[in-house]
Amino acid sequence: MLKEELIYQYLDGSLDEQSRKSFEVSLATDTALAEEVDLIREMRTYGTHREKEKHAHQVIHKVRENYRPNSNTAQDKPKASKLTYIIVAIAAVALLAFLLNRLSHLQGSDGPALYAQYNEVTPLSLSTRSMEYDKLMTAAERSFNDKKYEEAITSLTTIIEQNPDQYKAMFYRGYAYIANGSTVLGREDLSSLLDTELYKSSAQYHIALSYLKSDELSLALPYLEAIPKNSNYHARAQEILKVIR
Amino acid sequence: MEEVNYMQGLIDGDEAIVEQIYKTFLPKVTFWIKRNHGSDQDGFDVFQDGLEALVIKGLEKKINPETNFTALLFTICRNKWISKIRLKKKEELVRFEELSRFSSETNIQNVLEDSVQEQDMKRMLKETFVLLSPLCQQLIPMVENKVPAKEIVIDLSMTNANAVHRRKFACFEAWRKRIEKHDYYPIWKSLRSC
Repeated sequence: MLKEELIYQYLDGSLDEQSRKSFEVSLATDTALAEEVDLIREMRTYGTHREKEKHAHQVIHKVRENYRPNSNTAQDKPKASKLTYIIVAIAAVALLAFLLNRLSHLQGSDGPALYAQYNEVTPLSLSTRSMEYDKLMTAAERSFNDKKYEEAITSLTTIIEQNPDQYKAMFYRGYAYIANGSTVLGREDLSSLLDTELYKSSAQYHIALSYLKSDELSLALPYLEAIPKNSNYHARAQEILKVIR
Repeated sequence: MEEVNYMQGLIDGDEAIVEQIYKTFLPKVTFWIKRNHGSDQDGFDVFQDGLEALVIKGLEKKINPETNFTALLFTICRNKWISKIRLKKKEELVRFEELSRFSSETNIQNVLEDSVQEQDMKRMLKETFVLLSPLCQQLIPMVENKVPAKEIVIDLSMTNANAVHRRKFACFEAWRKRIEKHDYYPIWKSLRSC
């Protein structure tokens, strides 16, 4: 029996008594084996809970949108006159223009501002690849390109469930999650693409941007630095690196 | 009975119950955070973090199902807010008294606190798991949740139960190799040997 199988059976409690006792003797003297057992136990616990945790978190992210501050559905909003809103809006636009202007000169930039400046993605185009998914893909495309990210995530999730190798859908769902505020889920999607040839650099770049968005500049660094010279993202990554260093 | 349903509904991802939790508790948590130098947005963020943390604790069965859900939720949100503002060096401004009674009533404080090592271990597992192939990412949770091999064969378009068995070990092996390259792995090893 393979050592791994033995460990699994020990952890499952399915070894017969003699084998279990013998295994426990080894465990007491062999530190490498004890370490392996501990690690596999942790991995199995994580594997057991992962899907449930992911599902529960997705539901929380979905429901929370109804309760986001300033949304119309849940929380009390301060009462203000139309004039106040107009003044605030003008001030906000002026402030945004000022910030963008400052950013264009690469002076005093911070993470979220850099995210806003560099966060762009080509429109999603998934349809006509397969007749079977065509309707779903068209819906995903429309929602994504209209920046209706919550709807896009729903459609893209169905596509990914039906075809886990749909890396493009995975990439756009990751982007949509981040744009929609579900940064952790977005990073998870993008991280799953780091092994793919086609999406590696895009994933690195957008994971880095997600850290800029959350103002964790140091965590963005390794992803930006890893983007190779032949990537379309290299020049932009270098610009950002210059600023945040 | 209602309290148990909140926790179970949260873990199960029951949308109606999560909606009810938001409706019932978000205003109260936000009210407390606003009294302690936070904003509506802070309340919203902390509440979400608190719910996500409760899901993890619940799945790990670290929470007694009899524990009062309100106390759990308020304590975890309070802890998260205090940690956040400590980062901003404002801890002296927090009014601890409003919510401290919940934790003293139920003695749940320790249950909710992960050690730094536990957090790092979870981070290592999470960051390495997402680097596995999509097939492995589907297969591992299925085998660990005791989904019958016949169902796995159909769901993942595999050839037979033997292939599931072989693939399971291959996936765990691939995962372990990723873990061994993770920056926390040598630290975990050295902590273990202490």
